[in-house]
Amino acid sequence: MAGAGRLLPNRTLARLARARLQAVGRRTARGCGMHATGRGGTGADIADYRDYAAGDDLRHLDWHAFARLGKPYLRLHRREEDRHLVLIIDDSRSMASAGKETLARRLAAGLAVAGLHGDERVSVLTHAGELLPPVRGRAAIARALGALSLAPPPGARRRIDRLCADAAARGRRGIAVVFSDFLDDGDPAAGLHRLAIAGLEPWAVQILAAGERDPDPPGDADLIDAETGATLAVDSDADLLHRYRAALRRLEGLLAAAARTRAGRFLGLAADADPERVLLRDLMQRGWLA
Amino acid sequence: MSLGWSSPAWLALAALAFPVLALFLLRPRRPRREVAALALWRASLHDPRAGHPAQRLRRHLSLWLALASLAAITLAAARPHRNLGHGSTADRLVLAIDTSASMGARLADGGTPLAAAVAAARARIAALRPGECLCLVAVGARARRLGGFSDDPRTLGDALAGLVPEAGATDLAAACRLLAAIAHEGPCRGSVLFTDGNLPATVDAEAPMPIELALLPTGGANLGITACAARRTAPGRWRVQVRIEASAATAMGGQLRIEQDGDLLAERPLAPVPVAEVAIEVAAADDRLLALRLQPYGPDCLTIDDEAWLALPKQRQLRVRVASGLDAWRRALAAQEDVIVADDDANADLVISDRSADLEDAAPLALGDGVVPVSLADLVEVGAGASAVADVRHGEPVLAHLALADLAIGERVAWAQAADEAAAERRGFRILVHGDSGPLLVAAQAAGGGERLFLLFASRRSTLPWRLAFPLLAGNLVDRTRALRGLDQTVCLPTGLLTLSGCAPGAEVRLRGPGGTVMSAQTDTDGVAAGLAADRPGPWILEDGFRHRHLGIGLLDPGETRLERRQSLQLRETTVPAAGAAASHAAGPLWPWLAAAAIALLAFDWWWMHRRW
Repeated sequence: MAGAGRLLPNRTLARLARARLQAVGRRTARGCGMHATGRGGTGADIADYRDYAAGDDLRHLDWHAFARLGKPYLRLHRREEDRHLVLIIDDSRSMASAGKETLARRLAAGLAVAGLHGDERVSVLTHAGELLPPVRGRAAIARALGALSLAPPPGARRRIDRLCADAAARGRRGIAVVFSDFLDDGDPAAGLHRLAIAGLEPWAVQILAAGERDPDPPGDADLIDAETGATLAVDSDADLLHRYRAALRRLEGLLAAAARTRAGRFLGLAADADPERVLLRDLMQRGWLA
Repeated sequence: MSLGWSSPAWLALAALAFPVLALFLLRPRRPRREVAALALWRASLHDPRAGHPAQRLRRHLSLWLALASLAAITLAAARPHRNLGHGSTADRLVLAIDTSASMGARLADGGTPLAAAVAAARARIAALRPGECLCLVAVGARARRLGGFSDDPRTLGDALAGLVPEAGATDLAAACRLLAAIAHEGPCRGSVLFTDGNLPATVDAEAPMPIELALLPTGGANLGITACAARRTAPGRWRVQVRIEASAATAMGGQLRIEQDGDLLAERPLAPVPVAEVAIEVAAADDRLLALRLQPYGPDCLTIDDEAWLALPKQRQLRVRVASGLDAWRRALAAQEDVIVADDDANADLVISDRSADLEDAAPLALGDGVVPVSLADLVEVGAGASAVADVRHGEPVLAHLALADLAIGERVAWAQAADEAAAERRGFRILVHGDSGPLLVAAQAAGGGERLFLLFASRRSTLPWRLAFPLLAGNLVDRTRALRGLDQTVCLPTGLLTLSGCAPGAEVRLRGPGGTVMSAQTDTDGVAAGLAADRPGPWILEDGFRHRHLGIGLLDPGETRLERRQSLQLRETTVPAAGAAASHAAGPLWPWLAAAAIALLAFDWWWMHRRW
């Protein structure tokens, strides 16, 4: 596992190998897999019974019921389909500061390991493109970790809702975990909405630096957007920081509501958070992993 | 109330707003700070609370403060003023400045009320509005214009520059007459009188225009000479009487010194009482000046009343002309000291005669013995019979110490039919001695200022020459003549217009005063010179041909010395309350407030730029 050690220690990877992603809904791909669906199929789980009709496959006849009741009944099995885990990492310039993008990659690595062990189809998508095409099985773990650790440095200037739309356009169903600070001029709720429409359960992870959560008074200064280079003249006053924190709370509330109403999840993290602690404790406590 | 502009051209300064805007736009870059994203900052700036007008204003507060400062400076330069509703009246105002002696009192801050008045007047001049004209008037011992109506601040300021306190009280009646004359020239909005409140209790005049009384601060403790005179008690000895008064604020003691030619003749300490009467006898040379100097024990805010002068007359013998046949008078007068009795002295000081023509002499005192004045001839009848003395006016100087009760008179002096004392008084006669039937001795004023006495009965037909009262009467006549001639007593004259008698008739006299003051006047046929203005205390000299006469002049005004302060001006029918010195210009200029606002705005801008949140 070249490069994996730089993302997560082996002991963490070992523990994540036993964890499974807990989707809120059942959004699976058409392809045959291990995830039971609501539709009928040939899976191991019995979904229902119905009267036998001429031409039915006798392999699905419940002989025990026939012997007991004297009337043939046919077992209906659940269909088991595979599920995509799309890891969307915002690698715009705003994520380059304070280790936000690094934390995103390490969390994505952890989820990728858990997903590959859970027979998910895992792919990684960034503004630069698809770092990792959908892969499946434990054999792809090294490839996934390698792709995450060797990713090009941040530098894109695209909005996160465009990246979400790009992911939604790929026609995959399952879970889409979006790692971003959601600090751009786009509509983050729209991005999550596009993912949900496309059949991807939107899980949003917002990573913010300490200076973004609780900034120092800027004074009378021209603030420059690290991503776009845009300038904003700010004249400090006593209420400016209060209004900033209120705006941050509104954004967090918007993301949480957007994820919740689309059967998704939301988690806000500080950029200096311990990824192992987040993966093994916080996500498990919140039911993201089991 | 409307707003006017004194210098509207300065409103063009508002054009500086464009350079201010340009400088604001080109101002040095503010500190640049890179942030990960502007979204939250932008959201906080777009917060409804940030959109509050106060927040929007605060965003460019420095610009707004600069523009507000510029606006205040522009408005101040244009010198706005409030029009107080006098628009219908002519914009002509009279500024009257009290220049009486009390206006020169030293204040606690070292200034004088006159300096404060000039400053207040200058402030009013500085607030001149377009079309407004001021006329300056000085009101001291006399009222005078300092120029015509003018709107030129420099001209008006120059007129104020020469104002000094005068040695005299405020003549408000003259001021009212002058204001009436000014009002007669054209409509005036009113007048402002800048004064320390040392004004007469009442002024017998009417205000020809509205008067505003602007009271200024007045001096504090003061001690001064308010009257003084001297009387010869013996050859070479004079009894000097001085009245000294203190201001209402504080009574303080002092020391009075009497000097002659620099030599100290007497010195007397004074107790701290409001009024002190001092009598000091000194040995002083005649025909010289006595200087009376007061040295208060403490701060004395007015020094002009600390000195007074007495001109001691030249000692000479009294010249008496007695008509022939009046031997009793001749003997009685010859017995008096320093008296020369002659029959035909044309320049006699005292004339005693039994002929009416002799009484028309220019002598200051004349006595007609058995003479009935022509103007009294129809009121009094003198005939055979007898008369007795019924009443004597012992208060008259010539009748002092006389006992006439048993005087026998061999003539009957009686009032004519329907004549009485009132009729005689209407004709200018005073009855000095009443007889049982009519007047016995009457007095009248002579045309030249002297006195004329008429003994209506002939003394030789009475027992008067044999009575003790006769030499006493002769002595009283001599003393009275000396008094009228000013040979035995002298007084210090108050400053102001002098009327001097005893000069050569129809001649030009010249009056020289301290500081090189010279003025001249023409005497009338009686030798009276009038209209000479002795406007400062000190020794003066009257030049009458080849004769020189010393005059002692002092302030001698109790009102000025007491520094009384009145809160209103009582005219004949109106009372003008005090408004305070600031009131006259509080309603005028606004530019000081605007200038102060500009400074405050700039200071606030500086603080805003350097504040720390």
